[in-house]
Formats: sequence, C-alpha cells, structure tokens
Amino acid sequence: METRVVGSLTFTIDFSIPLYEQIVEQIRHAVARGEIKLGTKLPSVREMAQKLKINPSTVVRAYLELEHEGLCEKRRGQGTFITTSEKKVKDLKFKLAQEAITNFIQTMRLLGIDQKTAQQWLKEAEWK
Amino acid sequence: MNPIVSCQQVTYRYGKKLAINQLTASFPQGQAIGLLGENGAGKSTLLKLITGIMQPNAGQIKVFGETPNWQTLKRISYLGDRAQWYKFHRIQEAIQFAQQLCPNFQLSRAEHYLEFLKLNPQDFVESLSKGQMMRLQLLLCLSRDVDLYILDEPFSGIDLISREKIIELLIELLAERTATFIISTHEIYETEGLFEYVFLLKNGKIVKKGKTDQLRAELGSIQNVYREVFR
Amino acid sequence: MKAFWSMVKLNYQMIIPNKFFFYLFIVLGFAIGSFTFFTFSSFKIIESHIHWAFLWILFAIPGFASSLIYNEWTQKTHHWFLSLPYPRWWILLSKYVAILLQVLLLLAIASAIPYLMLYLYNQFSSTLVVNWSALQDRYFEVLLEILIYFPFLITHGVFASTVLYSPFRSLSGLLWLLFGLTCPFIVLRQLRHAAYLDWNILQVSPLILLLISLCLSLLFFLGTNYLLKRKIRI
Repeated sequence: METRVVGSLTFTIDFSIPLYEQIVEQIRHAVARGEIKLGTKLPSVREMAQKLKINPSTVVRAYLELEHEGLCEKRRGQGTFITTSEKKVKDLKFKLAQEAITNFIQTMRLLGIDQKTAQQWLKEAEWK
Repeated sequence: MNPIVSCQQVTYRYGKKLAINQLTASFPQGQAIGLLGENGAGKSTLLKLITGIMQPNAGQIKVFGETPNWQTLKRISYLGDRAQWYKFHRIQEAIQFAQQLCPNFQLSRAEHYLEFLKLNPQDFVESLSKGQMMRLQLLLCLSRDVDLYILDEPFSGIDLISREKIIELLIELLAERTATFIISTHEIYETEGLFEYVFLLKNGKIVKKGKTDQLRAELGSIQNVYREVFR
Repeated sequence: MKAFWSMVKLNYQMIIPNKFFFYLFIVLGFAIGSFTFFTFSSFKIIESHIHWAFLWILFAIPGFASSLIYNEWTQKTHHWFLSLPYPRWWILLSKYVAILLQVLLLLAIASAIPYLMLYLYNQFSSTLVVNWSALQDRYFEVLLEILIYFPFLITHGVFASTVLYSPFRSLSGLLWLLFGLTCPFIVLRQLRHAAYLDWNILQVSPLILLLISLCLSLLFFLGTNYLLKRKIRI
C-alpha cells in the first residue's frame, strides 16, 4: 500500500483491489467527510494518472462511475467537478453510514453479541 | 472488437530447445497489455515473432489481420530487448536518421520528449549511461505515430530516475493516444498500475490472462498472481 | 531514395567511424608510400609490380562485410535494422553500396599515392626510368580486374557472416574455404606474367570471370535475403 497525494486529495493505493474502485471509494469518502468542497474541480485525468502511476483509462473509468452516481459532473472543455447539490452529499453520507452500520452489525453478530447489548454499549461509548 | 494480434498454435524452436510451445492467444486492441514472465519464458521470442523479425516453426500469427512482413512494420514500433543504438551517432543524428527512415516519425514530438527525458542532443550515443540509452531508444520508438507499440523489457537494468521518467512518459502517451501497447517485463511492482490487460507466460505457454482489474478482484494484486504462478 | 542514402551513410560509418578516418589515412599513406619507395629502389621494372600497391584491398572487403554484420549483433543494434519498415533486399543493398563506396575510396587513395610518388621521384632523380604509357596500361588493367571481383567478394562476405546467425552456421567454414581458394587465384593471376605461369586456369578471359562473379553474387544475395527473411536468429 502506498499513499500518494494529488492536489488536495490523498489516495492510498492497494494493488490487490481493482484500482478504479479504490479511486471511486476514496473520492466518495473525501466528499462525504467534507475534505473536498462542493463544486471544486477534480484533478485532470492526466494529472491523476501521473501522480498515482496508473493507466489513464482507469481514472476515466472511475470518473465515469462517479458521474453516473451523480457525485461529479463533467463540464465541457473544463474538466470534472464535484457536484454542488447538498442533497447528493446528504444521500451519500446516509449511504456510507448505512454501510458502516451494516459492517458493525456483521462484526457484532460474529462475536455473538445480541442487539440489546450492542445498543447498550453503543450508548455508553464516547463520541470522540 | 477484433484482436490486433492473434496467435494460433505458434511454436518456435532454438535448435532443440522449445521457446514457444503451441501458444494460442489474442491481444485486444487499444489497450496497454503487459506480457509478464520470468527470464527465458519466451516473452522476447514471442514479440520477435509478432514483429516478423523471426518466423515461427509452426502455427500462424496475424497482425492487423496479416501475416507479419515488412509492410506491417510500418504500423509497428518495436524496441528490442537489450537493444542499443549506433554508437557513433550523436543523439541529434539518431533522431534525424529515424526521421528519414521511419514513416510517421513526428519530429516535433521527438523534440518535446528530448526535453522531457532530459537528453542533450549533442551527446554521443557512446557516452550515454544505460538509463540514458534506454531513454533515447524509447524516444525514437515513441515519436513514431503507429498503431502498435511493442516494448521489450523497457524497465530492466536501468536506474530509478530513468525508470520513473519512462513510466511518466508512457502514462502521458496512454492519455494521448488510442494505440495498443504490448510491454514485456518481469519487474511488476512499479508497472502493475499501467496495464489494463496481462498475459503471464511460462515455458513458452500462456498460463494466465485477463483484465487486470478483474484479476485483482478475483485473486488479489498482479504481484500475487505472478508469485503464485511462478513459485 | 533519401531513406536509402541515409541507410547507406549509417552502414558506411559503421565500417570505419568518422573519427578513425584521419588515422586510417595516415597509416595508409605511410604504408603505401614506403612500399612504393622500396619497390622502385630495388626493381628495375616498376610496371609489373605495381599491383601489389592495391591488390590487398580486395582482401579487406570480407573484413568490411563481416564487420557490418558482426557489429550489428555484438553491439545489439540488430533489433533496429531488422525492424525497419523496409524489405530485406533493400536493407542488404544499402549494406552492399556502403561497402562498395568505402572500398572505392580506399582504392582511389591506394592507387593515387604510388602514381604520385613515381611522378615526384621521376622529377628529381634520373636513376629511375619510368615507362609512363606501360605503367598507365598496367594500372588500367589491374584496376579493371579488381572491379570484377567486387560483386563476388562483397556479397560473399555478407552472406558468410550472416550464416553465423542462422541455423546453418556450420556452413560458414565452407564458405570461408571458398574465399580461401579464390585468394591464390587472384594473386597468381596477377603474377602470371612475371612468374611465367602458363596454367590454363589463370588465363581465363576477364569477361568470363565477370560472368562467374556476377552469377555467384546473385546467388549469395538471394541466399542472404532468404536467411534474413526466414532463418535469422536474434
């Protein structure tokens, strides 16, 4: 695993997972966490490929996927921009939170902890 | 999509030694293809058969739908393994020579790469280091505007800086052009992000192939796949 | 056409790189000059010995030819010349022309120096009497005969050295044996008047020699072309 910085974004590339998925995933998280402001321009395909040392078509594929989700939009002749719609971000946050909860539940069940205990512990846990 | 290169039951022998053993494969068009394998797996031999420098003992190869001949070489740019340029040339003369001999040689592009790769056109080829020599040869290869680039071991045995420069140049090219690249290497670590499609070659046969992202999803990194195959 | 001449130029430089040319010139001048000097200080009739000044150039041809092929392989430039988008006969032809030009240049130098020296010597000394018309006749005769061997020697040299990089490499010895047989023929043919040799084989007319030379060179050319196209190993 290697950490590489592209503009204001930081990527951790793990070659054992499809590369375009990682780019999509990490941009998604960055948007949800508010690390990228809405409406900012994403690095160009070429810059991204150069910095991450990967094939440009992988980056193109990732950007297309993000566009498809509505998280990014392509403006002709200008490049790809993060969406300006707050609602989209909210939806994304919800979706990522749901994913985290599903993971949490999965882990608890594997540990043999029932819902009640888990909820109790969650209440007692500190939000720091 | 039509494959750009297809091999049918190709066999090549050096004397009694079998270098390529009934190999069947088709190389997809417009992608960066990695040809991976240990030394002596038959990578170079296969690439030489594709360019038409050597002829297979049995089987059939089609490049752009034709049996390789000197006409197909107009559409192929080939960098041989451990190739060297003529020692008595200056870099400038080498570029002039390539421009006069190769159709579709883009002088403006060559000049741009000259700067990008930090080569001095007044230097004699004889005085270049290994890495610089590789940079020069890559410049000569990549300044041509062709449909198929075949690079045999462009990363082996050269210094880190040259290697990084070369990778940068390749990414630049991949962003610019829709040509097909077939790159053979046994140094996967730095290059595995470049390939969209890989073939793993062992004892003159293809033992594994596929889209890299698909292989990653199924089996983990290409390095792992490689280790598994060759251990 | 422009491409052809730059290919010829490349091959030409590969035989003797430009930077060595100066030294070559000096060595040649010194060697031939001293040869001429010793010849006309010890022989009475110069005309019948003058061929020694440049007959040796014939034996440099196989060296040039094999260095053109051998260097491609040892300096690892063979990938380049074999992957150029031109037919193999075209590439071969450029090599032939390069050797021809190089040898012609040497021949011009080697034949001009003795002539010039004789001329100068004749001006300042009266001990040597040169029969100029006989000398010119001899020059003409020898140079013409040397030209007859050119196609044979050039194509033979390239063929014999290309064979080394094909599955038939064991044949190369046989080919050099053929060259070994032609050497004494070439030399004895020049000697036949002075040494009073009246063997039939040495009396063959130059026209027949030319015919044989051209036929053999066509054979070698086709052979090399075939090897480069089908059987080459790199």
